[in-house]
Amino acid sequence: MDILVCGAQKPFMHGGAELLMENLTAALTAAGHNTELVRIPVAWEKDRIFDSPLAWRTTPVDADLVIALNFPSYFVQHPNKVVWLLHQHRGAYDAAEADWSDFGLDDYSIEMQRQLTEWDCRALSEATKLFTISDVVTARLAQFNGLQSRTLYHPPPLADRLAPGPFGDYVLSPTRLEQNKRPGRIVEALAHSGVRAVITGRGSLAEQLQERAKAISVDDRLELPGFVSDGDLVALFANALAVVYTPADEDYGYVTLQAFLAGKPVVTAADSGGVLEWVEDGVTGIVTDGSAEQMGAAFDKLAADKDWAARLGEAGRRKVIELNWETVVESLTS
Amino acid sequence: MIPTGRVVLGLSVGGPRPAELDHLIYAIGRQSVVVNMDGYTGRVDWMLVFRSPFRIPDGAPAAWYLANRADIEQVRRPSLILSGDQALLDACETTAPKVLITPSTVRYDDARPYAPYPRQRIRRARGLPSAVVGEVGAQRCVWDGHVVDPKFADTILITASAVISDQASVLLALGCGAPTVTDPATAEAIGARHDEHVRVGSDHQERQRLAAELADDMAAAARLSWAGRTLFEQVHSMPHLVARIENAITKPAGPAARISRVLAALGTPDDAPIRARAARLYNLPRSAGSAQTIGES
Repeated sequence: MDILVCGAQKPFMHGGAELLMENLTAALTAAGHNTELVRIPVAWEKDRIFDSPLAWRTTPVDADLVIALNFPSYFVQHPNKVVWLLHQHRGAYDAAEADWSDFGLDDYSIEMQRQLTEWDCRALSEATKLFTISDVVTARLAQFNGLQSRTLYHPPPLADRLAPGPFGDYVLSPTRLEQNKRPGRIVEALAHSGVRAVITGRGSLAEQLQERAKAISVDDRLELPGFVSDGDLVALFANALAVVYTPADEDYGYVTLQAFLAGKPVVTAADSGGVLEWVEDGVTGIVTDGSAEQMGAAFDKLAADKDWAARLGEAGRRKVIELNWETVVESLTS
Repeated sequence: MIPTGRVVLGLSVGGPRPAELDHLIYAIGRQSVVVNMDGYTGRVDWMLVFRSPFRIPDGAPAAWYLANRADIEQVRRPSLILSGDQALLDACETTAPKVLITPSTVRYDDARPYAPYPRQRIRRARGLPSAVVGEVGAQRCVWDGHVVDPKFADTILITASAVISDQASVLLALGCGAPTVTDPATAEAIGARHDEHVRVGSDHQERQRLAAELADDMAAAARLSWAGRTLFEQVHSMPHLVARIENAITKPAGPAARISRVLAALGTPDDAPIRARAARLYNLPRSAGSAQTIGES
């Protein structure tokens, strides 16, 4: 079958969404389909928010099937359109109150939000099948657009390389160093714990995190190596005591699944969204209130009882070990 | 003299016309030029044919209207089949698209669907309660338990978390995307089903209870909001019926008409900034009143 995978392009950004697009395209190709990835740039400010949806709407797509992944690629028109939704434009929905959203409470913003909601309802209603990547996204779609969808989980990147290893003396957090990922919480938690922390990844907060670590005298237990290779990341997972991941209302969160595949428990926060679909307090990890005190205590508790940490990690591994791309491909193309 | 850019509908209509066909012709005439083909030899963009007394110009796409089974036998080279009776559409053997003429009694062109979240944001912006039940009826309007002037009916319909409507207001409520509670007779009259398009309560007390529940359940309210709006467009709205027919039978002439149609199909209001942006981005004409109008000038 000729399949076009459709995804938005935020120029100069490469994160989880881009990895998913690439991995889905590869999985469809591996299943014998003639598959290509189509991307159109998107702008997220409300004054330009409808430009890219209109471009998708008028772009010819000649294929047997199109699979649209995120805003605004699902505006593509095709009689056989399947949507596997990563996210909508969150700034107009669940994150409308966030600092970074420009959808305020003025009349213009509210009318743009209303129009976007209507456009989304129409474009998403056209789908012959409507999936999402997580229960969090499914719930948002129901709450904001009144549309029913089905959650379709997929394995994270490096799934075939991650494996359990010894329990070391550090907590690991592979993440972009940006506000919505809240890496600062880990730095603050170190002041209430005796463990080390390794936070990999790049972002605008790198310098600020280093300075804060110095200010509260935990810089000797914090490593910020920046970008690390896949091989190094696999090794860091394998040798960690635990993984800590406390983003703000995450859509899905590869880090959690990668941690479990490496047999590590996950320390998270009660407001971390999709992470909580996997982390069950005391079963596969520890769910804190996100405070430095509770997170620090969680680190120490795991360090003090590594057998318990191993049991949590193994329970997590059992939850995700069956995830595979074959099931995803079958669901999207059948 | 037919203005440039206006769509021209030619009529080849004979015999006593069914009322629904008259309503349809009248509605089409609000935005297109309608000409009777008796002696007319000018340009036509498409034809509406009922018992075909006049010649159909070569190349003009033709929509054939069926009022009974005998009409099926008269159909020749249809581009579209129309009928108020689904059984007649089913009986007509053709590959042409078929459009069911629904009751389509209302013209609420300005009714924009407000999902529950934009409603909530409007209330926040205005300093109103976070959840409010409204009531819009022939006898009275109620906002958050207080009887208010009927001039606030429209405001209630687009800002309340849930609305109790009667027969006089229910279609406008659905057009506005209001999560709606109504009585059994009204629901039956508009073809709305309980918990699919509206919630139905047998007495006022029950309707108030159902509305209060909806006001606290955004997912259920959002589902009813969109399903109710869809019912409004598919069954009760004359402009949407006309658009379905025109989209099925005519192809947009040129990029401006194509983008105009795309924007209209997404529900884009005439004053939406994207219309002006599209005109600029795609360097398209913006002749007001034209069928190819993209944006405000």
